[in-house]
Amino acid sequence: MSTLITENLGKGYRIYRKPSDSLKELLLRRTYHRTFWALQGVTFRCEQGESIGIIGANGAGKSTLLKLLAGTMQPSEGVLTIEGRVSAILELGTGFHPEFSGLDNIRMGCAMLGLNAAETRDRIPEIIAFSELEAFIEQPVKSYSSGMYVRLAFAIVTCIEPELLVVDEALSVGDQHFQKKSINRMNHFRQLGKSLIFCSHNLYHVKELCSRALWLHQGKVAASGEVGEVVDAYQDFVRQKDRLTIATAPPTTTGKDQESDLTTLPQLLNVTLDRPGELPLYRSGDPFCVSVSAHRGTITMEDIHVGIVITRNDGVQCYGVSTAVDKISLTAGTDGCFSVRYQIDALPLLSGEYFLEVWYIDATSVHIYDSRNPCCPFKVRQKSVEVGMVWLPHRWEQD
Amino acid sequence: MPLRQHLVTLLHYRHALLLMLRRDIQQRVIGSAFGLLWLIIQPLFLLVVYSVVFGFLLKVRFGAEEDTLAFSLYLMAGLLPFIAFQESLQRAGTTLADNHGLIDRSNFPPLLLPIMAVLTSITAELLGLIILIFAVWIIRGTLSPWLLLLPLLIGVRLLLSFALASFISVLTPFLRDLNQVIAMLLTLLFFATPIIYPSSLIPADWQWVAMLNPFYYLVESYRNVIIIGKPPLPGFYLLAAGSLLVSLVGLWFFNKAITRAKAFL
Repeated sequence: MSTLITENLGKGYRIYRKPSDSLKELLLRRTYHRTFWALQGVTFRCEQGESIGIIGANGAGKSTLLKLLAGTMQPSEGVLTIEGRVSAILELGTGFHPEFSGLDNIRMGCAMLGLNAAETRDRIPEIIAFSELEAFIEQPVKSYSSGMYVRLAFAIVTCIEPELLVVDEALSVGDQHFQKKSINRMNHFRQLGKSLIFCSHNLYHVKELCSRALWLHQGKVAASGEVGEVVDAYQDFVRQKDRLTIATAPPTTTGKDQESDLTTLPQLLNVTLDRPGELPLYRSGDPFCVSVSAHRGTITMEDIHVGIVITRNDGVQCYGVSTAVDKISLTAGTDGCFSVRYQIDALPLLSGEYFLEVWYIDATSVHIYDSRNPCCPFKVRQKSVEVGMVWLPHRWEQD
Repeated sequence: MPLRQHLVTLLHYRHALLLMLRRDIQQRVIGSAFGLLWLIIQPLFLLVVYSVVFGFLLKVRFGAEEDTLAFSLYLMAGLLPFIAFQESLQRAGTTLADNHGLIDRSNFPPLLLPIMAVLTSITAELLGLIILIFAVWIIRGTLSPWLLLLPLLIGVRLLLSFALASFISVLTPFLRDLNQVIAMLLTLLFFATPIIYPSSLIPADWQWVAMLNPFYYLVESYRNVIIIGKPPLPGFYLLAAGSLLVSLVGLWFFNKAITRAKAFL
C-alpha cells in the first residue's frame, strides 16, 4: 500500500511588486502577479515502510516539496494523497512558541498533533528522555541552542508514531550522539512499516537511511530511483559545477598544422581509453588502460616522457605519474612515432566522473611539448558503499 | 471551508488553545513584581488620572450623583471593556508576525491567533470587573439582578473584538501602516464614546454620532447592569447580532486571505 502518492505536483509562488497588490488581486479579481514555479511536475510514490531521500542544490525546491507534504502549504497544481498521520520537522524545529518552556511546547506540539491531555501525559516522560533536556525542560525555548531545539522537535514529532515522517535537514545541527540516536529511531520507524521522507545535504546520511532517492533540480525531478545511483549522479553533477581551476574549454592541442610540423615538433597524436563511448563506464576494480601515441619530432628519446593525471570532475587530482617519475625509457620507431599504454589492473577509484590530463614533457618535467587537458572523460561506479574517492589497500586486525 | 469545519478545527485544537491561554496569564503574572495586580495596573492608573482630572477638577457628573467616587464607578464600567477591546485589536495587528514561525512550520491553524489575541484580553477585564462590582456592592450595599446578564455583555464585547480582529490581523501583512491607523482610530473612538463623560453631555444635534457608535451601546449597557440596575439598551441586541454577522464575514475573509498574507510575514 502506498503511504504517499503525488501526481504532477507543483507549487508556484506569486511574486508581487508590493504586498497590497496581493490584496487588490483578491478583492478586484484581476491579476497583479507573476508566478515563480518552485516545483513542477513532481510525480512519485512512497510505499509503506519505504524511505525516500530528497536531494538537490539550494533552491531546487526541496523545502517547498516537504512543506507541501507536511501540509503547511497547499500545492498550486497536481494531486497529493497521504494515508494516515504525518508529522514533520521543517527547517529548525516544528514551530515552537519561543516564550513557552520546553514542557509547554511538548504539550502544545502534542495537542497540535491531535493528542488529548491523557495521551500527552503518557508520552511526556519519553519525549523528555529522548531529547535529553531534563535539566532545561522548564526553561523557555528561546534560550535553547539550535541543537537543543532540534532535539526537542525530533523527540516530539517521532513520539506520536506517524504513518509518514518528514524530516528536513534537521540532523545537521545535532551532535554526533544525537545524530546516531535519531538515525536509529528513523530506522526503527521503517522497520515498523512507517514511511520516511528525508531531506539532507549529507549524502552519506541519505544513503544510510533511504532505499530510494529523488533528485530535484530547479523545481523538477532530475532523477529518481535506487539511492546509490541517484546520489552518484547528483554528486557527478555537483562536482562538475564546482570545478574552478580546470578549464571548461574543449581539449587543447598545441600543434597547429600536423602535416608540416610532424617532423620537427614533438606532439601527441592520440589518447584513447580501452572502452568506447563519450563517457565510458567502469566499475571499481575493473581493468583500466590508456593508450597514448606520439611523435618525437626532432627530440631525442631520452628527453621524451609522458605523464598522465586522473582528475575528478571537480578538479581534484586523484593520481598523477609520468614515465619520468617511474624511470621508464621510451623507444620510438624509425618514423619517430611511438605508443605507450598506461595500465591499471584493478581500478581503485570510487563512484564519480573523472577525466585525464595527458602531458607530453621533457626529462625534467618542466618543459611541456604538448598536452591534452582535459581528455577522455569516464565514469566510475562502485558496487559497495564505501565513501570517498579511491579504494585504499587495508585490512582490519584485532588483538 | 464551510463554517462547520471551522468549528470542528477549533474543537480539535481546544487543548492547544487552553494551554496558550493559561500560559499567557502565567507569563504576565509570574514574571512581574506586582503579580496579578499588574494585569489591571493600567486601567487603575487611567482610572485615577481621569478621576482626578475629569471627576475632581472638571466636576463631570454622571446622572444625579454628585461625588467623584460615583464618577469613578461610571468611568471604570466604561474603561474596562474599552481597554480590553483596544488591547484585542492591537494584539491582533501583530499576532501573525509575532507567531509566523509557528504557522509557517507547523499545522497550527492561523485562525487561532486572532482568537487568542481577543481571548487573552478577558483576564484583565474580568479582574477589573470583579473589583468594580465589589466596589459597587460596598458603596451601594446592593447589586442589581440585571448583573446576571454581564456574561452576555462580555460575550458580545469579545464577539465585537473578534469581528474586527479577524480583519485587522489578516490585513496587517498587506498594509504595514494599518497598525498606526488603528491606534489613531482607537483614540478617536475613546473620545467619541461617552466613557469619561455622560452621553447627556453630547449636544442634541450630535446625538446621532453616538447612536452610530457601536461602542456607545456596549458601554451604556455595562453601566446599566452593573451600576444603574437597568436592562441593557435595546440597541445592544442589535450590536450583538451585528457583531455575530461581521464575525462570520471576518472568519470567511480571514480564511480567504490568510494564505496570501502568510507570504508577506
